[in-house]
Amino acid sequence: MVDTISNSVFSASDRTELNRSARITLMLLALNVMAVYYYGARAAIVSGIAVLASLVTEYILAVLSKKSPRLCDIYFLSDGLLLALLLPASVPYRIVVFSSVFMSGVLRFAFGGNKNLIFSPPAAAFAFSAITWPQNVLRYPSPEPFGSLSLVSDLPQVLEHSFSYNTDISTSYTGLLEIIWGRLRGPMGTGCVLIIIICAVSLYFFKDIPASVLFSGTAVNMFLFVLFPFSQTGWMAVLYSLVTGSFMYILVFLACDPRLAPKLPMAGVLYGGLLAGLSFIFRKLLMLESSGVFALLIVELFASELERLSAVAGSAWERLLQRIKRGAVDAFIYIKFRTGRVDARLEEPSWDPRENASEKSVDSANEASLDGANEASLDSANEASLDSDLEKPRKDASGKASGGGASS
Amino acid sequence: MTQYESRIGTASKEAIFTSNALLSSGSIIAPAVVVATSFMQAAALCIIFSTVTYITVVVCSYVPRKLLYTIRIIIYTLVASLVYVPAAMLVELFMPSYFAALGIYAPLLITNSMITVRTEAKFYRLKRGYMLQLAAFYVIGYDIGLLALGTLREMMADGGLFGLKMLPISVPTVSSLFGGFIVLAILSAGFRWISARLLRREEAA
Repeated sequence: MVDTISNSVFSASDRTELNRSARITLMLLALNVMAVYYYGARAAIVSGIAVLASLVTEYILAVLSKKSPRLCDIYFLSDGLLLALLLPASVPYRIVVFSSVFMSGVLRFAFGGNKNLIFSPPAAAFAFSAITWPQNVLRYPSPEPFGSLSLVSDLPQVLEHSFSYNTDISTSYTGLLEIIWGRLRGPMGTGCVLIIIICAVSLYFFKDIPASVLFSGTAVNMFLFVLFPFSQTGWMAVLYSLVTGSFMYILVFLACDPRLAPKLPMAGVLYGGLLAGLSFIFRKLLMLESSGVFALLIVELFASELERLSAVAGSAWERLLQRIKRGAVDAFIYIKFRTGRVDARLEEPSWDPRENASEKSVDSANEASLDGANEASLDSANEASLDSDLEKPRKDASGKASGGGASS
Repeated sequence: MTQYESRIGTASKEAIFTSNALLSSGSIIAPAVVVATSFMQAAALCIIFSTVTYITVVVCSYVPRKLLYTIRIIIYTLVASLVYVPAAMLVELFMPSYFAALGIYAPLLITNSMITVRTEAKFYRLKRGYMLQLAAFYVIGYDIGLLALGTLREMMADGGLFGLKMLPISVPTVSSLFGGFIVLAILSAGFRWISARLLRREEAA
């Protein structure tokens, strides 16, 4: 019945979009579960406030602009969760409300909706909040299993820098198990890299995220961390490249957003590589927390230019391939038939050209027809060949008759 | 309503609503975004802008049209700079700290687009009497936009006005440059929406 309703209400593209948004929302809810495990009900309240504020803003703006909200447009849900999971669990509720309203009202609605986005709304809203309230947005509580933070808006406890920030400036180390389970001081939903990787793999198989962006971003990030390590080297550097800086979360859920990521594969490779490179530079030189968000906002500006570059490079490559193919075919034909004609000239002809004049004329007639001669010439050529064929038996017959007559 | 009153009404609607220099046309936005971070700073800028612009427009309306366009513009700027000196001294006398905060953007008002562009494009093609009223409304329209921007930015940045806390949240970024552009954009959008609704209501009536 649900299928019948959805089939009748939504078009095919709307259904695809709805399914994609639903899958991404489900993945984000899984990350929310881990956040609740470490920080208690406060994490769920922060996520709920973000989603509710986003929904109310969208509804009010839709009413004011006299646009009917579509059932399939549930980006308020995924964007609200994306924003909430980038924030610390200790963030005051008013900041969550303001950020969500800013995200939906200014960054999405004012730009013309989901079809005309320049910046990722959750990323830009997070960047705005981080610059405006750095003491609230870039300081984190310590995660504890079955933890329970106070539900008061402004937490009294002392908050600290994230695990990533500490690893960047010192050789602080934490246990491998803590890294695997994501028990790291940082944003609510970006520490559980194992779950993020599982989400990435499933989204990849559902074709919800572009593989080119995902793999190139991951590869370049790991490569840079190995070449220019912060505090850990070798395989630990590879592990820290995945775990720290919220990079995997930003790459999988924000950079691979189908509304903004480039569609062409080569453009996606460049996009992911640029994002990883810029994020690394910001972290190395500016010691920025969640530097991937700021890098993403810059790289997103060039997404359309990368697509154009990829299209131009792709068409140039295809033209080059075609030229090479044509050249190879021409060379093959030249070598083969040039070689054949030389052989023919060298060999003695096995037939008498005079006796086989009819065959030659047939051949020439056929060649003329193959060359695209008209039917008249073909007919005339055939008639000529037929005549010459007929002449031969007539000649033979006349020769025999005169010989017979002579003999008798 | 007499013809004169209706013309004044039309001029005021055009200058304040449909062609508001700051909120509709988007001109002279640099001083507004950089300097108008509070109500008092916006007020200081308003005083200098209004004095320099209006007096320059009035005086320069007597510059003969026969002169070359380039020469005319140079004369307008010269007149504006002469008017700026006493205006700046006045504002510095009564609001020294706010005048100091204006920085380079106060003297830059000498070359604002209302003096260098709108005079030639619009004002000096009209009859003097009507032109003077229209110019006054344009200046008032810009002042209204500037004061609204300054007030909004102070309320959002400090959570209140004149030291009084009114809002539960403060957004300090709004007093920065990029925050100023965002606030101006939102204010312009809201202003245009309200203007369009008022005009539609008038047409319907």
